[in-house]
Amino acid sequence: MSEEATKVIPFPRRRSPGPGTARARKVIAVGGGKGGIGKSLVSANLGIALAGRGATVVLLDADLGGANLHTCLGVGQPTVSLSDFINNRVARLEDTIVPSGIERLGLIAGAHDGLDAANPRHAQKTRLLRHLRALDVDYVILDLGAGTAFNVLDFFLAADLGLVVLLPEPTSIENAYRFIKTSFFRRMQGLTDPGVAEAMSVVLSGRDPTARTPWDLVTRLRIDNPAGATQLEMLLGGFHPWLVVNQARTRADHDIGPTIAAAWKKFFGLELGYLGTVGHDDAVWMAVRARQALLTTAPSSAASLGVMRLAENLLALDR
Amino acid sequence: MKPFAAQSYYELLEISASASAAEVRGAWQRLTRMYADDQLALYGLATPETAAALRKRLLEAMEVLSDDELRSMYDEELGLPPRDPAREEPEASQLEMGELLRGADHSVASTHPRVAFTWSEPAGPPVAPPPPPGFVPPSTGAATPRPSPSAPAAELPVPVAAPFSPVAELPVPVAAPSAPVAAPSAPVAELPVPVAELPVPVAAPSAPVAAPPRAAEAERLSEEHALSMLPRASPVPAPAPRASAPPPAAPERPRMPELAPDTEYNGELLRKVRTALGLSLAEVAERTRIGAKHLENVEADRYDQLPATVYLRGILMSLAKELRLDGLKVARSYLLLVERIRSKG
Ligand SMILES: Nc1ncnc2c1ncn2[C@@H]1O[C@H](COP(=O)(O)OP(=O)(O)O)[C@@H](O)[C@H]1O
Ligand SMILES: [Mg+2]
Repeated sequence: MSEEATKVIPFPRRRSPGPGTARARKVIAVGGGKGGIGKSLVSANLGIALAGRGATVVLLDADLGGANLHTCLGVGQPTVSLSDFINNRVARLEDTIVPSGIERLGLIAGAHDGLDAANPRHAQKTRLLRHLRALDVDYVILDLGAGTAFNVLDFFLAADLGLVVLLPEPTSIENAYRFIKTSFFRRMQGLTDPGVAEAMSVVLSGRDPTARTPWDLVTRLRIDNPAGATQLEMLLGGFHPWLVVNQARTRADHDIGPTIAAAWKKFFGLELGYLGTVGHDDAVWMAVRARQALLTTAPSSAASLGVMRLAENLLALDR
Repeated sequence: MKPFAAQSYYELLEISASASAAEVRGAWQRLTRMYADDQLALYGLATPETAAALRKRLLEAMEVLSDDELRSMYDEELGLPPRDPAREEPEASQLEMGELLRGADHSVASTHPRVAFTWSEPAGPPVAPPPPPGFVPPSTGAATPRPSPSAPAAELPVPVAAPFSPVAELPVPVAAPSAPVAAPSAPVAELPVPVAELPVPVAAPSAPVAAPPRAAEAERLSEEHALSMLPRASPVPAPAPRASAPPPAAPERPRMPELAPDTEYNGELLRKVRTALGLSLAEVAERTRIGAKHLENVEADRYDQLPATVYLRGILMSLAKELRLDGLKVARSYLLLVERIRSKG
């Protein structure tokens, strides 16, 4: 990987809505450790649900390797896509938005033309994020690719809200923890104070007997590097992913989200929210087969209701 | 927010400082079940050792907070104002360990017999004590029970700040991060599904992780390192030299021993102070309501016959008070010795 591609994108400032506007302008990233866990399902239908509640939404298929968000929406392969923007064939990101068939919901289809788009350079990522934030909508939802590549993590971390999708099964839970940990470490690489960054990497590698956790480091830095301590504290406190459990079948499956969030906090002292659970539902694959959006074809199915609760919880975060 | 090893007992049990003994017990039961080894949610998060360490701390927290006397002392150590006794549960101090432990995690069950002791209420206003070992100074974040500037004006006695998990059914007392993150208000409640047993057997976790695809630095950012972020059990204190003067044979009112700031308070020294004050063991036992047997064992440095640390701390503090010594200092010093010997054994 090139030197440039590994550079950390600066952590974004949360925008306060401009005067006279009620726009949240929130970028939501939907990630998770592996493929096939419902990231696209959640992204697409969350978009539909938010649009249904009156928000303007743009869905961006950021799965640079396996874009298929359009299928989840029941839209054919669009003629214009993210690759046109990444490769500078289109100057403005707005011009890649295609209608989704749903009011107030636009789609930016995923890149389809090969390796170049699957591995954007740092400058391209920065440009994409800048344009994303400039979109005049309430929510931008990024449907991320699988895995923990820096390209995925950087979009996850750059978002205002990072959702981690997981299934209630050991492999998926393990992957979710891995995803969260790796993105945390990636975030720590964004420390600009070289002294703090160095100290932090020692802590994270377990080689510092005096500071076993990042919080110990904050305490220690407080004495001789208060500014560094504050920077680290902000970075730690601002790391706050949200869990979405998908394909829950049993009662215990419905409990797993809150438990994971609580366990993470207990063991690491870091924040992790729980946004909600979507049940396993045959309506999902029936919709996929029919190449229709779940919320459009089966709005009263259990899975749809689950997604709508996610949307309500998201909206409540902004209240 | 801090990891469990640095959390106060209240934070550990995710309860407020005004929680009743029943709430303490309920929280302990819920959390012990939640962090049982067969919990799916722990898969890939905690090693069995780490989970066991957490359960041990939970048990300790429950033991202290469900005992009126121990809890008062603990609160004092934390700098919490005295609780309103009207709100307390009457049977709080009558707690039976056997009953509590039934159906619970026996692997961490306290093997120490419950000590029958109560001691006289400490008189006078509590002196602001130095933070006891194991506590994290308030500067580390908003999660300390002391009100901190970043914690939005919460009522004083509550060591936990407003939760901002969207799950209403989880009474997680998330400490407000002193971080800049805009703590969202709690969103809509979800599924009030009661805790159910998870029948899923889970193999021992701690599978190694594929390191992020980057050079040396990132290579280390693996899961093991994440786990190594986890604090170990209580740190082993640096060994201190042991006083070895033979006990004076003459019981006739001996001289008060020298007490320097770094004096190590072993049983022998405590006995010297007692005799210098002209107090008999029976008198101290009578005044402190601590069993003479315990006092004898303390003075004879018979560490293997002493009760669990949580009780021992209380005994030492009461004894020190009777001997007009600094209770915290004595307890800390003595417990270091005990710890050292026990960890050797
Ligand atoms: N709640 C659910 N109930 C039933 N099947 C589901 C559910 N969520 C996802 N699936 C199935 O899993 C497949 C993969 O989902 P998808 O959203 O494409 O995953 P990802 O984007 O994470 O790769 C879907 O095609 C669907 O068949
Ligand atoms: Mg997908």
